[in-house]
Amino acid sequence: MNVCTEYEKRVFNFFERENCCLRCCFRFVGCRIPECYRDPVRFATAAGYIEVDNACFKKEICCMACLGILQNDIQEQIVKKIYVEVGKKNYDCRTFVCALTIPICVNLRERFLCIHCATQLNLSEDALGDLKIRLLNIKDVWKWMVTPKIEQVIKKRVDSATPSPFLIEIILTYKFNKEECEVLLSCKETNTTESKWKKKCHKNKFSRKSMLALMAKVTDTEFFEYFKYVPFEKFVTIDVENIICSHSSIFIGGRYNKLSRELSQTPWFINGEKKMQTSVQDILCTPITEITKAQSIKFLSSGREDVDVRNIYSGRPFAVELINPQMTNITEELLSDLVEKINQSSWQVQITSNLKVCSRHDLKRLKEGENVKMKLYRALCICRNASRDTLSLEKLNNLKRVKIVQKTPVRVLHRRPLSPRERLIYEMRARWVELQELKKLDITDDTSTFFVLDIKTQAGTYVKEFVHGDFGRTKPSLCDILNVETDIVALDVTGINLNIYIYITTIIIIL
Amino acid sequence: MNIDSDDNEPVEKRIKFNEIENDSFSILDYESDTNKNPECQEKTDLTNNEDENMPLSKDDDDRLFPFPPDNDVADMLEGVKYHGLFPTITDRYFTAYYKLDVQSYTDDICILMHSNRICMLTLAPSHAVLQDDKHITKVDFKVSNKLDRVQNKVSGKSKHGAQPLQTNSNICKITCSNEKPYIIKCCLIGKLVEVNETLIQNPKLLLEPPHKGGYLAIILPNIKLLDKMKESLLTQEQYNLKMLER
Repeated sequence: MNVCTEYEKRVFNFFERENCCLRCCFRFVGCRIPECYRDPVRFATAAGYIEVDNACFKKEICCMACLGILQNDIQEQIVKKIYVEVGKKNYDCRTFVCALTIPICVNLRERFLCIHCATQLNLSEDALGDLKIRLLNIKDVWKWMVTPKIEQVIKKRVDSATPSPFLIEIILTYKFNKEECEVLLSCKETNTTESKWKKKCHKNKFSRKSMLALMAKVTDTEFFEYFKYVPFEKFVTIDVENIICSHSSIFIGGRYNKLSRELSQTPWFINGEKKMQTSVQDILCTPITEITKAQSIKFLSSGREDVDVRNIYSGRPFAVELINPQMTNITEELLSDLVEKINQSSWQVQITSNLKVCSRHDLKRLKEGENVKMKLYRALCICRNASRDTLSLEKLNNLKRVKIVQKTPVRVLHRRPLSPRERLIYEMRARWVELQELKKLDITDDTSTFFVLDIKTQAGTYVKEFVHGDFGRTKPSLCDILNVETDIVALDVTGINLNIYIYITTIIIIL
Repeated sequence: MNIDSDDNEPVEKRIKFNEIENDSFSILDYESDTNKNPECQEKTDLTNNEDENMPLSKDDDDRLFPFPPDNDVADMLEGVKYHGLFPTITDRYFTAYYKLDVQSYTDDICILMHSNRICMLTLAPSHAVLQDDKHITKVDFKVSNKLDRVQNKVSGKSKHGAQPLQTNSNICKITCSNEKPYIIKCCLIGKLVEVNETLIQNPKLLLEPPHKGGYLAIILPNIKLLDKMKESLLTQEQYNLKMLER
């Protein structure tokens, strides 16, 4: 390292006299050599900032600028706490990133010290600007010093470039932060033009954002006036308030079939009581949570079925968000075990694809599938007071792109706004149901006749309402088209036109 | 079909696309998947112009989306509740309550309550209008000079801006040929969701059962007063007994 210039030495010594630690002194002179910060005494001596004799090994006093953040005691304390915190949970991620939260009073103090220095050393305005620009960010310096130590103790590699999904947050607080911020706030309060702005920010006036905004508004001279006579606390160091470890969400997706007509998609509570034993969500999520030890989970799917609607053939795409998972090394083997486990756990829900870890892009497409993509349904319909001889279904087979208007169905009106929605029925395929297909029904009324309707619709079409007309609120309905009273006995979802997730070679078709 | 099954169905949700970052991910892999199926190719001519909802990706082109095989549907009936006769949507989802002689003899009102507590106001079968093959000529929702029920506007899921209704609020005037109009009271406290505007053009529709469009209005009742309201009304059984007495 080169010997310092006279100017640098003056600045360095000024901050040293102001009870700044050597590392902060290096920061103020803008030293960008990481080694300096690892062994500040040796480098300060070598560069001629301090005399060898003066390289006092006296007990470190609390630094005026960093409040101890860059000093050995606090560093050791943090590393130790991280070691404990990471050890508590068994995160298998091999990398990590750190996020350091520092109280805003550190910024206040830095600025004050810069101006103070300029005043004391009779520096020009340009030199003050230069001083402020040169000042190294405390977090950068902290990371140069502390990350290698963290890497060593938790045996994970830092990865800030990707960045690593495993985040260690270090929250530092300062006992007198509020008091120091108040100096600035109370000075600003006298300024009446700011009162409106103040009122708006009243709730969170100590927030980092509002303090930084306020600092930007104040000129250096004003700032110095406010703080000139403020006795800065000299002996209390920063507190390590909290260390929080978290792993970002992992999404596991696939497609499912729902084979029961008595299964809701999500747990269904009425007055806090579970209305049904289980749900699609429970069946799919429980095994996944158990294995990955996620803190919590969130179920996402490309739309949903009614309780009494099945979903057959290729199935509905879904994803499970694992929030803060500890087990993150998700292998193909684990995923295929999961498929097996879920499929054996119930007959109601079956996974029809491979499970896979999905990207953000997959999720976007998943939601797109819900709102944009075409859907196929199969409806078992009944015609009241009609016979096959007088009614022709051929009409339905020939219709293409029927535009219908659906008012929000009565059955969802209690939780959706009322509005008419235009939807397209792209195509239909209808045929009479053969008697042997109906053997399960005990039909006593022979005025009714059944047909099966395959229907291709725009996303968001209420198919049940299209069949029965919803009290004439869906126009036209099948009743209008066939000019006969039609109703729906059973409905299956037979396709969602979204090609995500790979199919298992044999698609499960339940007979 | 399950009567209480109204709580789960495909619904339109607002997507928060912006929440999810875009990343460059190859979608070409899927292309081959769709093209394998020879059936798909035949369907290309079905749609000629694109929808307003342009798909974000090409690989699941809606035109290449065939119906499943047209096989036996016997398995569809698994879990279907069907006892000889298949009830209408009114009978499947609603419970009927009645109020007799509201303003005069045979001014009988029926309130159909959905399992989600939305109410549908109709005339009871015993209402004078539905007797003796009367000829309904007009259903008028303009109940006073200032108040037109058709002008009712609601917004949001809690139906803000709805016209408030008291038990004695007028819903409509029904005119039959050569008679003075019948004024219909709504008989419950709540918010008006909508009136059946089809009746304005086609008053005779009122002779039909509700599931074919023979109803007057849809009302969101005040949930707090619901139990009280039910007590003040007749159940189907009580109504049937009263009818025998008449």
